[in-house]
Amino acid sequence: MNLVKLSFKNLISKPLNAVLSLLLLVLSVALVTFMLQLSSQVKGNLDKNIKPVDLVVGAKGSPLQLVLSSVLHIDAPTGNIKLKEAEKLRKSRLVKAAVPVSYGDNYKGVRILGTETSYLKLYNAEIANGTLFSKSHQVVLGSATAKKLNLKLEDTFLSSHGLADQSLEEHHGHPFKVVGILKPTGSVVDNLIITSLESIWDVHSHPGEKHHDDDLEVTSLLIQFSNPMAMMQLPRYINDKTNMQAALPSLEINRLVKLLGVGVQTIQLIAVAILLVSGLSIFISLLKAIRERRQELALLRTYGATSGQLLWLVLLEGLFLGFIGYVLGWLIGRLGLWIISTYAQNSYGYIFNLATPTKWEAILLLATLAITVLASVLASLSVFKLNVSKILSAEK
Amino acid sequence: MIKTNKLQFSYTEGSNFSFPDISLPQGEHLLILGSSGVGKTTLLHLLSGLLPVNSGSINIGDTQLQSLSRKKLDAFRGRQMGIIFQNDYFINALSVGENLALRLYFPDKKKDTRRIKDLASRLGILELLPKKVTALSEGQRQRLSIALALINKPKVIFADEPTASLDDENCEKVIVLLKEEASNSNANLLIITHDQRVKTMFKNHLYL
Repeated sequence: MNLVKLSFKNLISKPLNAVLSLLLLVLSVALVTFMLQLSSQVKGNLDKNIKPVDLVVGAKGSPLQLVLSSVLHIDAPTGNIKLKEAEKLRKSRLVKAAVPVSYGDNYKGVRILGTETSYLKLYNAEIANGTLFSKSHQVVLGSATAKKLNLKLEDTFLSSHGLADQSLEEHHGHPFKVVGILKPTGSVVDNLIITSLESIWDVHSHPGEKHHDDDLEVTSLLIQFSNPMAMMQLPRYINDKTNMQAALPSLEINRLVKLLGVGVQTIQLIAVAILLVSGLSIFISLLKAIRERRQELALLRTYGATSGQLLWLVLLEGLFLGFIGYVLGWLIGRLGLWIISTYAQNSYGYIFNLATPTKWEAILLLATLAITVLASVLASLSVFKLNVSKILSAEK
Repeated sequence: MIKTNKLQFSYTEGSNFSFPDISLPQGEHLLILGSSGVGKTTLLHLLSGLLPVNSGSINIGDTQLQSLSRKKLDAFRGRQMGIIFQNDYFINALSVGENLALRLYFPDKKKDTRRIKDLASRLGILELLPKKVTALSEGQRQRLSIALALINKPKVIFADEPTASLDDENCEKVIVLLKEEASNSNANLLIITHDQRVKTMFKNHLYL
């Protein structure tokens, strides 16, 4: 028997007393860790996905929409641009690489992206099985797509018009054939069906009709700069001198994250407020426990326990509460992250890392323990004024 | 050995308790008698150092209680004294055995499972060791209080009205047990009571 054991037994002997404090603590820790992880990992995922693309050129409209649709594949495109116009940009000395992308169809809600094989190089996507597409109507699948749609090599499917799977219109007579499946990349590529530009054009033209170079359109052009100067010159040139618009993904995403950041900060503030309230609740519940156990504490004094040891006893109880609360809260925060991750992986191909505790979570642990220690010490100051003789001679 | 000299105490100004001097050689027993309100419990709390004296002195063995710091007094009480209170108090979150082990833990962090088992079997509560204290009957609680007062082999055993709630048969049993245990470790036994049944069982009496 020792102080640690005794304080733990005291804590669990009347578990209802501490339940409210514990719940508040768990709630606040879960909220803080969840939001910290979510915002940092969303940012990380976004950064990873936009990193290969310095500039997006597309039809005029909202620049954010252009980035969301063409780079992150989560919004509708702003419109189409002429391939011929886009091709001109390719020749600029400011452009290191340019990849045209084109939308139009989906299969069961998964976007079919028409592009060139160089698109895969942007994300270092490699073939795991099969080959790259070389003819019209051949597709490669992102790793998550293959799993989600349960498609294998040599499988064929018919696409639907539009980007959402509600569209009823099905393209007949143009079945796509799976020729390759990509290795997982942890980027947007995992959740796409990728094919050649010609496939998209073929689906939307009438049978037998030949493509006229002048009429060919793509959704946008993804550009990598050849030097930093390009960031200054190229967007201005495109926005002023052509009827296309240029959007910088990094800029747009930063704007978006800042916008979301206000919401994240609000939730964080609420969580910190709950943490403080839980500290107050621990204080009150310990105060109540000390009052209830006044006679037991007095008894311990007659056994030879010092006031300092009694303080420790209460402090340990508070620390147990704080630690259990933190661990439970952390686990629940991670559980939330796992649920969101499963959802996001299916919808956006974002993978959230669950394991690593961060520096901020360590700081939160220290803050939690500091608050519980403060609450316990304040609550247990009365043990120094314990009138042992009076308490033990009072009628029960 | 217990020796007091001109003990005085007052809870509030005007109400003074003065106590007759006590001089009890090592191993002797003493019965302190008096009606309610004469300061029996107060005297016990003074002798055990739970209350500070206003004047006078208390010596237990070679130690003068007034010369000890608060912390040293706590430790001295823990090592040298066993107290049976008028009401029995236990740590309710613990079992009978754990309560006894905790009594040994203060102040010297001692562990002695054999001592706990020996004493428990002599007091007939061996099979109660794993039980919660809240599940004990009145008589069992009484015996556990006695066990708690004896477990650390004290040099002085104080008992405040140990027989108040007992019938004649159990009253005698408890007193015999206390006397036996005190004699076994050559300890002083001080019993405070207004129970006339106990009177004949002790040769040393002190009337307050």
